[in-house]
Amino acid sequence: MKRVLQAGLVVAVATAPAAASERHFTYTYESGVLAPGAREVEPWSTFRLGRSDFYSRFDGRIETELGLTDRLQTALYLNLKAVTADTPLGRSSSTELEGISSEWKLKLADPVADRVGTALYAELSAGPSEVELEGKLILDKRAGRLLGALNLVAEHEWGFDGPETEQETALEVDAAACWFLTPALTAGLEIRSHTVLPPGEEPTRSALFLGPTVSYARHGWWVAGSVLPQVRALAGASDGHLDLEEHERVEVRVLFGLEF
Amino acid sequence: MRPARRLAILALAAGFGASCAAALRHASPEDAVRVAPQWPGTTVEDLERGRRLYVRRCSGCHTLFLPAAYPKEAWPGLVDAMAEKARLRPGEREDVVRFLVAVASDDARRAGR
Repeated sequence: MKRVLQAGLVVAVATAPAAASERHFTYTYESGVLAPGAREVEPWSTFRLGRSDFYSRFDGRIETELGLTDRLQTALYLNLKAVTADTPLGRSSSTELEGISSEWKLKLADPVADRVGTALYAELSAGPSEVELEGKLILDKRAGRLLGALNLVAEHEWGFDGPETEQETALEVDAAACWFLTPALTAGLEIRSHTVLPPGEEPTRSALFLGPTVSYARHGWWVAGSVLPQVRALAGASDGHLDLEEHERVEVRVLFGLEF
Repeated sequence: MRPARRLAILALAAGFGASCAAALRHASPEDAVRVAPQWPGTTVEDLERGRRLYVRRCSGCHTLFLPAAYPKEAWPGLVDAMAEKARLRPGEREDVVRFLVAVASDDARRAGR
């Protein structure tokens, strides 16, 4: 009987859905990195809907991740954008290749072994019309069936659309928590505050998003999704209690991960 | 209270709660004594080497399990099943098993199991 139990445990753990790279949230990162030599491809889909006038945007990213050491992983992204929006000249649609991104993530502490999992994250994006640098401090903790994570994010963008280089800074706080309903399935809540600090006289715009998030993982693949409606503007409200100039009414994001 | 302040308080509360939660504990001299019948001459340093290997090699593939998550008898088989994927050499595999068995034994004893 004992041997049967042990064999069952071996099978259960060896085929456990959990992978260090699996995402349980769509905006909030966790501290885990891929094992050295492990590779994963992650298609991202983000839909942003509703501004003061008609606005529909799709952001697609294809990410390829590679584990370099026990603590370091890197990734390369290809970024696409499709927007349909009302303008003074009527409704217009555009699709463009935004560029590529290079990501580096360094794990400093583990969410189970240490009091708080910690990682540093840097991402450089470059395209025909802009360059962007983003940094994150990632904190997370797994305690039993509860997982929580907090990210502090700063990004700076240089735009080359006009005759002069335009710069913009954004600050973001992402937090999320989920409960493992089964080892493979989680359900939780994600909250995101995004603040844009434009240069000069333009007003600061900040919005708070809050919504449900779910994830499911099996050996070799995983999926995570969230629906985050804007719940209020923290600065620069333009439509009642919401900011619909810089931010949308709702953001929907779905991530897949596949080992290869 | 402003929403930003509420959010900050919520984040601080979550951080405080997380920092109080159990972590994978370090090996003690008592752990070394406990596994001495099975692994004579074991030192705290040996067990700590196993802990380091467990954290670094195993967390790349899955969320770490606390040693008490499984009976101590189960750990050798569990580690064997994943040793190749975790690139554990035979000596390293032994270090990981010794640490997990030592801590799992103590945690089970404390829990009265």
